[in-house]
Amino acid sequence: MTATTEGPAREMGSPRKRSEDARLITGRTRWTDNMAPAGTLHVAFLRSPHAHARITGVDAGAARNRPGVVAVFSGADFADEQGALPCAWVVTEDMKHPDHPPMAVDEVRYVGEPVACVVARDRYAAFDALEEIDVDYEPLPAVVDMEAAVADGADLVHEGLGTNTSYTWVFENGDLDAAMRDAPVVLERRYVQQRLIPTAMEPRSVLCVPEGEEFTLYSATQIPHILRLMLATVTGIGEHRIRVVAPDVGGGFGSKLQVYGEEVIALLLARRLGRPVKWTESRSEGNMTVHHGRDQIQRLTLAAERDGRIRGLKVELLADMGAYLMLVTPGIPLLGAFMFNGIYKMDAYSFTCSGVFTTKTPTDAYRGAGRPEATFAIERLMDELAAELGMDPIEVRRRNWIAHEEFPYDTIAGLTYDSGNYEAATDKALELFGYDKLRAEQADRRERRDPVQLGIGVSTFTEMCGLAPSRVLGSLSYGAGGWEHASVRVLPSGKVEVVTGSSAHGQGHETAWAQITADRLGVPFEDVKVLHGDTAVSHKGMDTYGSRSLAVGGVALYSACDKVVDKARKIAAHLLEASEQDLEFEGGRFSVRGVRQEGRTLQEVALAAFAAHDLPDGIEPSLDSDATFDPDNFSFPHGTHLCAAEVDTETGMVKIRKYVAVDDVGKVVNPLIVEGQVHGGLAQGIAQALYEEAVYDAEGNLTTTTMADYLIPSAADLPSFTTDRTETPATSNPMGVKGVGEAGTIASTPAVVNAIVDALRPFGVDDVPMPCTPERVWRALRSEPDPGTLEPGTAEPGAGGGLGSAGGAR
Amino acid sequence: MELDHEFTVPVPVDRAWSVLLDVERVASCMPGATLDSVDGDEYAGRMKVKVGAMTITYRGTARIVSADESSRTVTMEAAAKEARGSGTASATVQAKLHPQDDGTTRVTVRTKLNVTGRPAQFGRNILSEVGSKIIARFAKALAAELESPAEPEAPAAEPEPEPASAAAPVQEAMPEPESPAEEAKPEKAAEPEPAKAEVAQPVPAAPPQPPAPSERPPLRLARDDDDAIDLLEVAGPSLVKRAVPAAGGLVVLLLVIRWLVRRRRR
Amino acid sequence: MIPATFDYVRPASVDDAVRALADAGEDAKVLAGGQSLMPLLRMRLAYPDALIDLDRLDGLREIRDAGDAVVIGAMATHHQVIGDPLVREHLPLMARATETVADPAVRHRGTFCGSLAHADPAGDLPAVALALDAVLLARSVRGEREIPAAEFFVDWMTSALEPDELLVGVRVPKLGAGWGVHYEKFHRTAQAWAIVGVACAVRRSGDTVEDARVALTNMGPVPVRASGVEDAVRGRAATREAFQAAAGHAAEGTEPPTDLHGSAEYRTHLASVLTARALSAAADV
Repeated sequence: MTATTEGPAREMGSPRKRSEDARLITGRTRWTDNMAPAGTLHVAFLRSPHAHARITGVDAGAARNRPGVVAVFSGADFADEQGALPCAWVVTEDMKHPDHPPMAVDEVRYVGEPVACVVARDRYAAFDALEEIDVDYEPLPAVVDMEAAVADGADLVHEGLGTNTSYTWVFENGDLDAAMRDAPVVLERRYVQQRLIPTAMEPRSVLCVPEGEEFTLYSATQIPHILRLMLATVTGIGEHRIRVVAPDVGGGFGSKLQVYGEEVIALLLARRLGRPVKWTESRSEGNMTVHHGRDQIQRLTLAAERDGRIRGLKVELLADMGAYLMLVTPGIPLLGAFMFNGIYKMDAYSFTCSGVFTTKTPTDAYRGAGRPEATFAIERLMDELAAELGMDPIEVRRRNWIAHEEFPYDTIAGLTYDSGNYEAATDKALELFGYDKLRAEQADRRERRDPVQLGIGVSTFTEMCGLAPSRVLGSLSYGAGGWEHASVRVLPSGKVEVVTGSSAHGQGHETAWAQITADRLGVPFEDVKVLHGDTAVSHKGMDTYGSRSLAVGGVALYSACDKVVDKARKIAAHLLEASEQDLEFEGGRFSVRGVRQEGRTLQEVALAAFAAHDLPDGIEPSLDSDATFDPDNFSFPHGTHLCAAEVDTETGMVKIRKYVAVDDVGKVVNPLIVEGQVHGGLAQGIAQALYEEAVYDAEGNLTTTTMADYLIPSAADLPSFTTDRTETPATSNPMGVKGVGEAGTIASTPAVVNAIVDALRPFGVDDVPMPCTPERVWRALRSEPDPGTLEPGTAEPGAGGGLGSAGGAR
Repeated sequence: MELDHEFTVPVPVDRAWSVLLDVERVASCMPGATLDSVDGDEYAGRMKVKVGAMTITYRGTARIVSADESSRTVTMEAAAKEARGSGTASATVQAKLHPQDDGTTRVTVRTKLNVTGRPAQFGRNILSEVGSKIIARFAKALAAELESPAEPEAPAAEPEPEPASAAAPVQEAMPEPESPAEEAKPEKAAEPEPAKAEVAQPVPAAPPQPPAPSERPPLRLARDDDDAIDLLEVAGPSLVKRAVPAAGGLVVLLLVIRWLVRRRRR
Repeated sequence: MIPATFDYVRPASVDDAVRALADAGEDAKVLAGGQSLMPLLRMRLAYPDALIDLDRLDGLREIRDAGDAVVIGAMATHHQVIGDPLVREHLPLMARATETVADPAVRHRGTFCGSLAHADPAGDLPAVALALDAVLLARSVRGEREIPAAEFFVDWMTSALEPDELLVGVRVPKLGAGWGVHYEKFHRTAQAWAIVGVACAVRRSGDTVEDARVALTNMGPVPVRASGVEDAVRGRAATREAFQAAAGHAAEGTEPPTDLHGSAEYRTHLASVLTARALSAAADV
C-alpha cells in the first residue's frame, strides 16, 4: 500500500447497477455468434451416437457433394496436425493420461464425441450434409458405472491403459487409526454427488478469422489467455501469431474454463481453408459435450466423542473423469481434499481419491469445483452427527468450529485459515431465520402428524478461493501459476483505461473494476473504461474462475492504481513546486498539506505528462502503470445458511419455505453484485439438491439432452432469499476481499438436503439421494431403496427422475 | 433393453417352424418395414417410424444367425442406421417354439434392442412408447402369419411384387414395389425421395445399377414413400399391454427393419 | 440444431389452408404457435415435406360465444384463453389449466388447439378437453367433421385427424352454474411437463355431489377420463373423506409411463392423491 491518503470511499461499497447490463440483457452486443465477418463459413460436427465404439470407416463422399458444402473432414483427416487436447494438471507421477484427439480418429468414448465436421456456406447446408456422412462403428462395451469400472475384469475405456483408474491421490494428517479406535460414535455414509451440466446461458461459440499466417480466434471462453497458450501448444502455431478474444461471454460456471476440441478444429479449419469459420453449438449438443461437473461417490467415516467433538474423518472418493482428462479434470476433486474438514477442528484426517474413466462426457470445473462436494459431505455429516447424538445441529457445530479468536488457524487439511467469524455469521442467520419459532412449528407439525412436515437444514460452510498462490499450485503439480495482472492507462484527457487479465463472463467486472479505479484515482466512475478478454489488448492474464477475479485480479488493479498515483505525485510535486512528502492526494487531487487551494488534479497531471513540456528530470511522460498480484494464501469466505423446507409426505414434493444466507466475503466493492452472485449461487446449489442431474442409460446415452429433461429452476421455483453479510476482512490482500462467485452454490446444497432429511427423520429416513425428486422422497418415506443406489441392472428406469450418474446409469 | 412377448398359435410346431425360417414372411410382419434387397442370407431394408410429427427412418440389414431345430429356436440379428442422422439401432431377436399338448404352439419372442442417437437421448422414452407397440403389432402379425396357410414363397394374401428378392438382389427394390391391393396410397411413387426438398444431387437413387458384388448390398434410398408405422393404425388407445418393459421401443423397430420385406397395409 | 428443408406455405384463408394441406400429402405439418413443432423440427425429429403456417388466418384467432358452448379458434393463444372473458366465465377450468402451461413466452405463442392436435398426453389441455366434453372441429377439402374429445386422442402423440384435416377450432360446452373446478398439476419446475395432472369439475348441491368430471394428464398414452372416480362421487357426500376414497379409483385402467420423471408406480400413487386434492379443491371442501 502506499502513503496515499484514503479519500472518502464513494464508489467501493456502493450498490451501483452494472453498467454492462443493458447491452448484455438486450443481446445487442458482441456475442461470438453475433459476429460474422464477410465470407464466414459455418461448421457443424458429426458426433458419435455410441458411448464406445471403434470407427471402422467414414464415408464423406455424399456429404462433400452437397450444395453449399465447402469441405468435410473426419478425425483421420486431421490426425497429423490436430495434436491432443491438453491436461494441465498431472496430479500424480503415474497418472494415466490417454491421448485426447480433438476429433476422434480410431475410437469414440462418449456419446457426442466429434467424429467429423462439415464446413459449409451456411448452417443449414452444414447440418444437411451431416446427415450424408456415413460412419461405420463397431460397438464396444459402454462403461457407465464407476464402481463397476474399478472392479477387476471391468471393460476398459482405454484398452491400452490396462485399467480404468487414472490415478489415486492421498492426503493424510494426524493419526486416523487412533481417532477411529474406540471412538464412541462412528458414522459411515455413502453420498453421491450426481453429475451436473453447467448450462451457461450462452452456448459455446467459436469464430476463427485467418489473416495470412495469423489467426484471431473469438470464443465464448472464460480463459482467453490460457486458451491462446494452449492452442499454440496443441497446434504448433506460434503463440505470437494467435490472438484470442473472449468478447461478451454469457456465463460459464467453469464450463468455459476449457480448451475444447471444437476450438482447436476451428483454428485448423481456418488455417486449412483460409476463410473465417464459425461454430455455435445447440443446447442439446452442448448438454452432451460441454464438460460436466461433480460426479463423485463419497464414502465417509466420521469418528466423534459423545459430546459431539469430532475425532477424525476418513474420505474415500471415486471421481468420474469421464472418457478423457481435460484441462484440469483430475485436479477438480482434489480441490475438495482441503475442504472436507470444513470449519471444524479435528485430530486426524485421511483423504483418498481415485479418478475413474468411464465412457461419458469428460468432467471438469463446475461452479465450486471440488469444494461443493466436500462441503456437502461434511455439512451432511454434521447433521447426521447431531441426530445421532440427539443434539441441535447448530450446537454440534459450535462445539467443533474454529473460534474467532483462534485465527489464523492451521487446519487438519494443511491450510491456514486467515480469518473468519463463524459465531457472528451464525448468530445473525439464526436471528433472521427465526430459528426457534420454526423449530416450534416443526414440533407442532410432527405432533399433529401433518401430511406436510417441516425440516430445518443448516450449512456452516467455508471455502478456499481466490485461486491461487502460485507456490501452492506448484506444490499440487498444477501446470501454471495463480497470479493476475492489471494495468492502468491515464489518457491525456484524464479518462482512464483499465486493462485486466481477468476475463469477465457475466460477473460485472466492468462495473466493479471501474469502482475500484474511481476510488483509488479519484476520478469519476464514468471516466473509467475496463478492457478485458482480448489477448491483443490484455496481453497478460490468468483469466476468471475459482472466485479469483476480485481477490487476485482486483487486487492487482488496486496496486496498479497506487503506482499511477505514485508516478503522478512526482509530477504534481514538480508542478506545485513542493516536495512529494508534503503532498496529499484526496478526491483525485494533489495538494500541499495545509494549502488546500493550491493543487493539481490527476487529470491535470496526466495532461502535463502527455505534453511533457515540464517534467522533472528522469521522469517518463506517462502515468501508466501495471501490477501483478500473486496472493500468499487463499481467501476463505464463509457463512451460515439455513433452509426451512416443507415436505409433502403424500407426494414427496419439497418446497423451500425460507432460506437465509449470511455470507462473510470480506470487504465488498459492490454489494448489489455480491447479492446477485449469492442469489445465482443459491439457485445453482439448490438446483443440485432438488432438480439437476445428467442421467445416462445403461448403454451410455445421455437422456437429459434438453431442458425438458435437465431441469433448471427459474425464479418461479425458488423462494425469496433472505441474504445478509458479516464482514471479516481477509488478511491475505490489501483490500480485505475474499471472492463471492461460488459461495452460494457451495453452501446451499447441503442446507437443502439437511432440511429434507430433518423433516423426514421421524420416519426413519437418514438420507435422500440427490436430486431429491418427489419420487425419491416418497420412496425414502416408504423405506424403499432408491433405484439409484441399487446395484446396476436392478433398477427400473426413471424411478425418481434420475438413474444416478455417479452411481452409474442403471 | 429387452422385450419379451409370448403368444400361442393354433398350428403344430413343425408348421410354425417352417414359417419362422422364412425371413421374408417374418419380416412382412414388421409394421413400417420395406425390404430392399436380399443378398444371400442377408436382407436389406428400411423401416419408417412415424409418431405424430416425428419421423425416423432406418436402413439396415437383418439375417438369421442361428436356427436350432432341436430346440426350435431361431435367432436373428439386425443392424440399422438412421437414414438421416447419425443414430443406429440394432437388435437380436430370439424366437422359440414350444409345442403344446393340444397340438398348438406357444411362441416366445425375446428381443434385445439397442438404439442410439436422438431417439435415445430423451428422458421421455419416445421409443418405449412406440417400440413396445410396434413389437406387439409385430408379434400379433407374426401370430397371424403362423396361422395362415403354409406358403413357402409369398404368402397367399399378398402377391409380392418383389420378384427380385432372392435372385437379383438389389435391383428391384428401387422402383417402388407398388403396393398390394389394399394399399390406398396416394401416387407418391414419383416422389424424388424422402429427402425431398433438399433436392441437390444426393444419392443417385434411380439408376438401376447392377447389384454390387460386395457382400453388402448397397443400401439405396428407396424413393417410394414407404409405409410408415403410424400409431393411428393401432386402433384405440394402447392395446399393448405394458408387459413389455418400456424402454427403447424403437429399437425394436429397427431390428425388425432389417428383415422386413413387404409393406403391410394398415 | 436447425431444421431440414421443407416447403413453406402461408395460406390466406382456411380454404386455401386445407387445399394446401391436401396438396402437400401425408408428410405435411400444420404450424400454429409452433411451441411443440418447432423443437421437433430443430432437433430433426420431424421432417415434414411442407409446413402450412396458419399465421395469416386471423379469423381463427377468435374465441366466440356459440350459445351453450364457447368456440376456441385454432390460432387462439394460451395467453388469449387465459384472459378471455367468455372462457373465464364459462370455462374456468380451461383458464386455470392453461395458466399452468409452460411459461409466459410459450403461452404467448402456443395455442389451445395446437396443444390438442399435438396430442401429447403430458400436455395439460387434452385432459381438460376431455373433462369438458369438448368437440374438435376438423376441416378438409372433403368437408367438415366433428370429433368428440373422447375419440380424438388415439394414441401417444397421435390424434384422430387425418393427414389432410385441419383442426380449425374446438367447441367446448359451457359448464353452467354450480360447478367448481380445479386443475391439479404436479411438476418439478414451473415450466416442466406434468408428471401427473388432474382436471376436475364438481357440481354440488348442498353437501352432495351432483356431478363430477375428472380427467388425468400423463397417465397413459392418451388423456384418461377417470370415470371410476366420477361414478364414486356422484350422488355422494362432498367430504374430503369421500373424495379420498373415490380417488382410489383414479388409476383404474390407466397405463402410466415410466420415464425419467417418474415411474408408473409413482404415477399411480400420485393419481389418487392428486385426484382427492383436485376434488376437494373443486368442491371447495
